Amino acid sequence: MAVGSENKVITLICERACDLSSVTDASGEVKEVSGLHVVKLPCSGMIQPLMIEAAMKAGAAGVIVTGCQLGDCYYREGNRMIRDRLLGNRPPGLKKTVDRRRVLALWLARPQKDRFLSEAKEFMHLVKGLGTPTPAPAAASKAAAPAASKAEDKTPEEKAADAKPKVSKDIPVNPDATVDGAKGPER
Amino acid sequence: MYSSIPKGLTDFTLLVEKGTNAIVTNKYNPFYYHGALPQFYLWVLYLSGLLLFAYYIPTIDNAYFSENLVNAWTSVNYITNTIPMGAVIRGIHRYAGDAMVITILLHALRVWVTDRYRQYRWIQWVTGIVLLLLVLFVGQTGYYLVWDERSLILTRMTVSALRVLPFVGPGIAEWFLNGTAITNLTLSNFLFIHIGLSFFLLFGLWLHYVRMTRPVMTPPPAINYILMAVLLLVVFAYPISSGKMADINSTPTSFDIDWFFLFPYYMMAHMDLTVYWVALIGITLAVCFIPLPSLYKAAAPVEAAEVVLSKCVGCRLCSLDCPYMAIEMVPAPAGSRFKLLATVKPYRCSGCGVCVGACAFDAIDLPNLLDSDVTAQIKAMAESQ
Amino acid sequence: MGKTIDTALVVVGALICLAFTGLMPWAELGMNGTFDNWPLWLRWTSEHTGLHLPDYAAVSGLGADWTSYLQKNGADKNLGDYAYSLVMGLAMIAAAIGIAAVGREEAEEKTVLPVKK
Repeated sequence: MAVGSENKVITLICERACDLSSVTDASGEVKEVSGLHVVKLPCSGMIQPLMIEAAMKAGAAGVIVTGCQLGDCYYREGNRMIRDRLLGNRPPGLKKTVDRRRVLALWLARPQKDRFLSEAKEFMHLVKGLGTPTPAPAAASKAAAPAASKAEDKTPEEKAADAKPKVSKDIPVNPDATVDGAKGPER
Repeated sequence: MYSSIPKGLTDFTLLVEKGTNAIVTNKYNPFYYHGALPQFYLWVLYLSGLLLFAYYIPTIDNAYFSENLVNAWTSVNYITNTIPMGAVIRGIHRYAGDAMVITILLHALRVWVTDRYRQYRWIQWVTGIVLLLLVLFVGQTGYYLVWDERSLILTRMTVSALRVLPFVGPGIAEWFLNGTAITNLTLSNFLFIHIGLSFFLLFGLWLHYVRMTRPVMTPPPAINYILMAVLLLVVFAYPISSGKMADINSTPTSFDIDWFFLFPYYMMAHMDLTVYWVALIGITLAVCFIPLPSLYKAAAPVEAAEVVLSKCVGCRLCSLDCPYMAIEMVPAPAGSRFKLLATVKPYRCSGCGVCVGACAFDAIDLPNLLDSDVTAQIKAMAESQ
Repeated sequence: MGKTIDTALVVVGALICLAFTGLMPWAELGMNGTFDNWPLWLRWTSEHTGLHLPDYAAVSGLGADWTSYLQKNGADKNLGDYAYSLVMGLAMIAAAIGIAAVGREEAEEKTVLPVKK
């Protein structure tokens, strides 16, 4: 698992939150803050907790979720949706194995670029202090085993998701696959 | 996108809101409840109107100016001068109407400036314009009900304006007067219109809200107190009194104008009536058609979300989370493992992707931005040196 | 916010509450606190029970400014009702400020996820 030579923080930001276009280059890297990368989405509500988990697994030190001001989402509710998902108030939620200290959510309007940069810098210091992230699947599955055993904590959706054969995105999945794995993925 | 709106106006609005957030925080920022403010005033109007209705008498009799004369004007006078708090309730009713027009206009302005009226939001815009016209008309009938000299002038001006309409004019004027001349029937017709139309507003509001999930209709209590307090302070600062009682044998010629509701009468008095109707209808249609270009020739057309039916388990999360009521759960075909499947109504879809964020089964996608691509982009960024 | 500022705000808030509590009945009595203006039941209570309430005739002059303003602007009767409306409006504004001052702690531009133990 490749770990960057510097701590990387991925920002998942929506198109209408704080305007970072003046400080971001074409590849999505923020010039002022080394290690900070930006991925743009139409709405912060599009963020799947899966994406945050993928970022952590791939070696990111932290993830910043940025949306519009609470109450002013351009698409009405997107920022409240992702906020509720992150806080565990709404399915789907973040897996228990994700280190909650490495996730920060900001709700900033378009003119608040400077506020974003100052919060991002502070967050990068914080995650540097937390040490190297441990994205290795072995560690994750060891932590996941006791978590998985508490089956009654999970919602039916999460149980169904766990029952689904876990395949990574680059292996083609039989489009006819059903949840109980009757026609499993072709490896 | 903000590109089609004068950028300066948008920037200014955002700065003002940023300043407001600094003082009262986003939880109490009235700009973020701009649609709920007129809704609050509507409840105030219903309640104060109900209280006034208890004592209002819709007749115009003034043939006998005796001490026991009972008509609309004297009943309003009775409410104002005798009933405890009557003057205050009357003032609240009148100023809540003005406040509702102000808050509706501010609401419409913010919707326009923040670009929330196009494409999938066009029904909200058009119903909003229609609702504004209905509110203006309801307010005008309120001015007729007092039956002072201003009411008489307004009624006569309205009748002459209606008569000018081609084909339907005289018929509508007769409907409006409930006859061919001003009688007691006229005033009870005005009362019926005033109350009936104001409840019809609720139907219009349903249309206005129907394509939004969980519409924000109630400001937080702190804002409600301020809204109510504004009315109470204005009632003290500008007490309301009626003009002289109307006498249909007289022809009064001037009146105090309330610009929020009575501006059409100013227009009527200063231009030819045909020009007046053309201007009124023309401006209304033009404003209603503002979202039209975006429906057919949008700069960035929405590519609606698509459900991957083979992966959908019918968990309903996308349907519950969609902010625009664009996802409906339909019964799954026979033989399916699941009871429900999601379907997207593409003309309601905004392309926001909240459904994508809600789906734990990768069963819904925005065609122009697959979540697998986003995840791949995230991974590439995290892994690169 | 320091504790002293909080205490000062509480004291100010309490004084404002007391002031409005006194102003509202005064306004309802038509801005005239003389014994004759009190409601019947209060006069009866004062006369027939051991509870001898004082006459507030001294506050009758306080509403002179408001009375003249209202009359100048066309208000005829029930001037106390208008005064009550004003005082109630101010009380509501004070209440809203109080609520927002307490509630603004909860509003957020930044969410840090709670770490479950």
